[in-house]
Amino acid sequence: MPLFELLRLTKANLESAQDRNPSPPVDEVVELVWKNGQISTQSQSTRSRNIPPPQAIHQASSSRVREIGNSSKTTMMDEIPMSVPSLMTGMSQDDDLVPWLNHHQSLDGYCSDFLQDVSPVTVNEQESDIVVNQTVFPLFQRQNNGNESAPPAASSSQYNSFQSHSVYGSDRAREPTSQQAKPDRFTQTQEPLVACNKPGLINFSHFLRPATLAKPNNLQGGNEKSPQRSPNVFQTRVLGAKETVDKALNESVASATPKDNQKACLISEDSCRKDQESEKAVVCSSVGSGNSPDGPSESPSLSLKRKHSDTQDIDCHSEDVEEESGDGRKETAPSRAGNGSKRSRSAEVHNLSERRRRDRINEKMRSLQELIPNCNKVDKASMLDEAIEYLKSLQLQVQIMSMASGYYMPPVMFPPGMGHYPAAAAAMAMGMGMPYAMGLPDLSRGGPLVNHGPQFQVSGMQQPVSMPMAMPRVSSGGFFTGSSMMDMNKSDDGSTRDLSSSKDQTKNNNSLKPIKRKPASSDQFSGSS
Amino acid sequence: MSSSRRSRQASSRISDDQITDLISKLRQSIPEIRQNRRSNTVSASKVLQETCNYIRNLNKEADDLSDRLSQLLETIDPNSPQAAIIRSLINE
Repeated sequence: MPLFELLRLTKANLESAQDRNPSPPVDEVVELVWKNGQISTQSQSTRSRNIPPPQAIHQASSSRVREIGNSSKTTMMDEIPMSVPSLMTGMSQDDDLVPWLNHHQSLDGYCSDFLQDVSPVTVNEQESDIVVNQTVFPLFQRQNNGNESAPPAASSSQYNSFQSHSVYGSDRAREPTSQQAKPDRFTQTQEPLVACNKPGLINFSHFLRPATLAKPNNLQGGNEKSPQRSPNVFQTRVLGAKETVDKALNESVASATPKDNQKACLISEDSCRKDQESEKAVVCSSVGSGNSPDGPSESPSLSLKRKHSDTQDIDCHSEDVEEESGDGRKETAPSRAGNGSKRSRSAEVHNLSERRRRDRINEKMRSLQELIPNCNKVDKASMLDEAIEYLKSLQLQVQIMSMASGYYMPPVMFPPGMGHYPAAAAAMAMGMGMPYAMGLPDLSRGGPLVNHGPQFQVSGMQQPVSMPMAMPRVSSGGFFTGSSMMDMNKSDDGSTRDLSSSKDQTKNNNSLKPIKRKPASSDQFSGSS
Repeated sequence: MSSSRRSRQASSRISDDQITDLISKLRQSIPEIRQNRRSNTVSASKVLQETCNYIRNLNKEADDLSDRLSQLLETIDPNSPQAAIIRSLINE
């Protein structure tokens, strides 16, 4: 998912930065990277470069054969185009993404590797001793003024970093252990990228690295691989159509190894960027649930999916256990009661069934108690009380977070015609979220849900966002505050501090005054000020 | 003996009533049970089971959302107030 977000952002950046590509960027990039004969980054004549196919093919195939180990080569190849174009093109186009990547160290294993490679941007070494890069380097040097430091564009710098990594691949001693694998991957990816000699290439290699990160990396850039495979691999890609690649991706994803699945998930996510994010995550998780990904490198969706399946299994198992125990008791009861009278037998049966029911309930209460954090109550009633409160707070928290993520994540979702209204609506959501975010810690202790409700003024704001019943009193005030917060951020009038406090309604009111930039929202706010 | 039984029954009666109330409260909070089964005869075990599942699902959702928010946090200026908001949500 993190990678998916990066891809989405870079894609957006790419689209905005480059207007040279009339066709959809994804398709374009895919074609660009993988069109064997002519790896043109933007499918434009200006950038198209024709690399001798056999060279690129051989190099790529050879490297790939080594890394992948022959089995999932198509998988990797398929993964590459989807992931490479969007992210790397975006990165090449936008330097801002680089610091983003560098900062994003909490990603999965391959992602971290991915980022580490990005950081040493200026490390460019001209060691063209690597066999793999021999054909590539001259091309690269020709195109990018060599690998010297301070490359003019981020893409070239990134490319240089990749080059350096590939160079390092041949010389392991120079690289830290953690990065040794990367150069190998890079060497493998270098060939197609270098051949293209474009930002798209860099993107490709960048993505190729994570894709191949899972694979054993003994790639030394040798050319010993059988070139025969390369044509097939490339041909799959040469198709160029995004849909085709997607199909190949999906197929490869279905049959890929666990690690491949993780990457494939990212790639499939990337390919389905236009679709809803949830769908992608679901797809990814569904793909990966069947496998056993590594702990550190598994994507969040996969881990969540796995956990969910585990919990489901536990629930089913517990239910089965209960039923079995109940059946066992049922069988013993009649045998025992047969000796006594009917009444005693019925009473005994009743007692047994009652006991069974109570045991079941107690068991569930115990499991519920385990779920609730900091629950030291032994009394059933108080424990249930706490469970109810915890459940409500959880509902609230999830709703707020979903609102926040919905507001922050798709900034381009709102049609331009809507103007500031959706922003205001989202701001309102955030406003709702802020007070409750502060109040959530109180909620866990059993505090009232509308702690901060009265603190917010009620304005004549509409309520585009439907809030749960638990927050009736805060609705208007919260919306008001949220919109004010939104504008506060942009007005830079020093009222941003209110966001953290969220309890000083006076400040919030004052902050509204400078907010006159948005006519639509200001009209709504003017009521309160 | 009878007194103890009576006291036991009294205490159990009270807690039974309490438990029934709480179970009904839980039932209302859980959308699954509330919407699907309109009857008043939902067993306590079923309610508890659904509660456990619901809490687990909510936890998972919250984790997922916090992951998303942390990602978003990376994309925006860390010093902005929005970042503070997101951070507060994640920490909770």
